[in-house]
Amino acid sequence: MLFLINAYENNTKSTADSLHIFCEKYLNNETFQLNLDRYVGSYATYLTRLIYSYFYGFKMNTDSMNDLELRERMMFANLDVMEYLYPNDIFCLQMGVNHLMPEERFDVIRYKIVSQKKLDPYCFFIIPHGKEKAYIDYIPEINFNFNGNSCYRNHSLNESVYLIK
Amino acid sequence: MRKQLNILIACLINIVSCKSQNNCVFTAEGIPQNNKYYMIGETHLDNVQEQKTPGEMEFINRVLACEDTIRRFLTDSCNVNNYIIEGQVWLEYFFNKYLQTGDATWIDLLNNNEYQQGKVSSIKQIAETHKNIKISCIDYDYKKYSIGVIKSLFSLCFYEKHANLFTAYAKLYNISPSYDNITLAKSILSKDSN
Repeated sequence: MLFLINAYENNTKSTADSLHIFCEKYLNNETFQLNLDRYVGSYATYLTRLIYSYFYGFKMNTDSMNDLELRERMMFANLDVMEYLYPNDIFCLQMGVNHLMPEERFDVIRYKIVSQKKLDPYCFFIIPHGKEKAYIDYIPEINFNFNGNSCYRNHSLNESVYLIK
Repeated sequence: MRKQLNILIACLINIVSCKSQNNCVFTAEGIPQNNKYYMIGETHLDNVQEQKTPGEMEFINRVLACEDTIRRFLTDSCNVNNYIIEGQVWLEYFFNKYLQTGDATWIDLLNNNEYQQGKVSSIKQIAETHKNIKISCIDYDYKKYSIGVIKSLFSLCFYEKHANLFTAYAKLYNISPSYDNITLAKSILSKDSN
């Protein structure tokens, strides 16, 4: 545990390495994992998700779009865990608009819910007035009439678009 | 009489439309109420962690008001209780602590992230009148030195095990309760090793 205190106080390469070693040990050493899970009690499943998200996440390349597919797969896997942990929950996912694209060519989390879970989420797109062009490929002709500072349109049976100025 | 009535109605409409400047044009028509999943698509208004101008803040507040209207509908009419945010898993601990305690110091780490803070506050307000509301985060961390992961691990290993000591320490020294009291963690660790 001392490394946690050191890591908190010092942003150094060695503390980053310690964090990485700690997480690697948790994922590969069953006894270490069991002991730590027991130590944190009801937070054990959260601890596992936390360590997974760190250990497999930091190697991803955020500068390019190279790891976008991997990221969507990982988020979807995390969503599966949530559904397993809370089977009776009803979920609302709030994410960047691009994660809500429905077609196969995007293969983002919404499409994965549709294709793999066979469920069709209802989607609310909230788009700032002036940035409509960024979404013109998917939502053409966003020229609504404003009444106040927001307006909306049903885009399809399971989508509505809100434009805000 | 008729003229007076018209003036009164006109005034009333004016008041309502002024009040609704931040309100969202929303209708429940066509929205299924028995889905397992709903999604809100946003445009990450906090991408740059800088102080925002009054104009930017006004805009953020209008977006938040619209999202809040949607969330309240989803909670009240569609039984949504698990709000999943595109944030790193380590954030989930702090968001839910804020939901459970109402103590905003749990989300201090979102300084200059007014949009993110507003989202979490909206869910917290809903949680005040609805049971079993929770926030989940499903995104990954991209830094090898992740202060967020460290903060979260630190809280699980020290604060969660010794919350009463952390509270007592704050009372004794007349300071705000803090989950990241390193001095106290050090003394707990040295006592444990003795």
